[in-house]
Amino acid sequence: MYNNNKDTDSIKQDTQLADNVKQEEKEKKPKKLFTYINLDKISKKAINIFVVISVLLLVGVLFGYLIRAIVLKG
Amino acid sequence: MSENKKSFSEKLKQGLEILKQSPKNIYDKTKKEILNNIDRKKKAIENFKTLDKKEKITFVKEKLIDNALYIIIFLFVIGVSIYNSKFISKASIINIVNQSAPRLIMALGVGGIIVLTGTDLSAGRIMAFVSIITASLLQSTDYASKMFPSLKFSPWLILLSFIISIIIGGLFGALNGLVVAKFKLHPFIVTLGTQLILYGLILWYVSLGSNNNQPLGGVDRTYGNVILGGFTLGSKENGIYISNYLWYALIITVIMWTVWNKTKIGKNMFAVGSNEEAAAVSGVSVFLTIVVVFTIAGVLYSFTGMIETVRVGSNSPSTGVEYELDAIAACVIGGVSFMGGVGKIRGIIMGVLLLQIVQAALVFLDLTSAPQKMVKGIIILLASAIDMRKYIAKK
Repeated sequence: MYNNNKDTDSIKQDTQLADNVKQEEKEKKPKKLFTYINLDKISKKAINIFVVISVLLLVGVLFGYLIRAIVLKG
Repeated sequence: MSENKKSFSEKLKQGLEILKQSPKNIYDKTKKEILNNIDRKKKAIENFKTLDKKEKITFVKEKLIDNALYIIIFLFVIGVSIYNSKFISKASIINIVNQSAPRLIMALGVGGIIVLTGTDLSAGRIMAFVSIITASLLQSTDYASKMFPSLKFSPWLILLSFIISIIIGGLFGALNGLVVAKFKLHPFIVTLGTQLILYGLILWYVSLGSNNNQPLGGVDRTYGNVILGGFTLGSKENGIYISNYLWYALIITVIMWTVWNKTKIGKNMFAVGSNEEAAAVSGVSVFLTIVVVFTIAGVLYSFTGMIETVRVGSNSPSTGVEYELDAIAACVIGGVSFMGGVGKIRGIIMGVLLLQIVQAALVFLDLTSAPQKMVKGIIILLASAIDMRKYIAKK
């Protein structure tokens, strides 16, 4: 419902504020062509954990299979 | 009219002068770049020496994490070589290089699209479609299950199929690029759609003529020699056989290196990939850049298709499955950033070779395709994690 108590100036101010917020949000958006992930919101610690898990997985799988092959051969 | 002629001849003379100078310019520029690189490395070493102990440890740790993938693969390769010395035999190395060559051509196409922060899921199907069309046109005249029995083989058909292949690849690439650039749709979804369209076309095409959905084989020996023919380097007994398609891959790689590093379109591609808005403000046509990069990629897939027609031998609708994933993986491993604007041709070569080496090593461990896929998946995860880490560090 339209608020009758508000005068024209305050409505204009509100509109201006809303426009400013929209503009700021627009500027905050990444300027990449296509974005898979917004890395600005991810901490370096989280990425480091991801790297460590991936390294452990790869080392485990690759060397696990290598050790398995050596054991089977032996 | 005479003025026009005069200006044309002047322009021609100027062009010839530039052409005469260009090899020297390219040589000078390359020499300068190499010297600059050496200077930069010397400075980096000097800077490292000035660091205190704690900073040195942090520096080494960072370098180790950034190169973790390469270190793990290197150690794994050493392990497999100890387990089975045949892995580092000449035959094995030649096999790895042979397997890598066609995939490298495809990866070079996908690499350009990833630099634009895109991806291409239709690469494998474009390649398969070209492969099937080439096979159907170039079957031997006396082949029993010929798809089009009335079509007699002639060397001219090789040229015709080459042109048709390039047009098909280029058209599908351009279609992808147009839709992406015009409607700002994500390449993932656009190329997924194209992939399905192409799969439908492949299924329809193999049912044509008297083929009855059978795999297409029996490609004429003349075309076989164009691709698989070659020469032996060294003695006949112990020499290395180099197939023609390795040369094709090498030539295409050199051309793509030139396109990426020495041409306007290459520079625009990196500019659009880094920051689309900034590129547009600087006067780069974002639309044209996207379309051209996708079209070049399409043409490169068709080159892979033309090679695989003979190399695979039997071309069916399942040809080319997962080729695009291998190409994307190779690019990510080679440091082509999914964040856009970053990537090098030598990185893509490295990525393709590393992926192929790991696959070959797993075969030497007598592993089935299931663990191979698992390993490939983990490698992609690690490569993208390192890529994200580098991106954050740069910011």
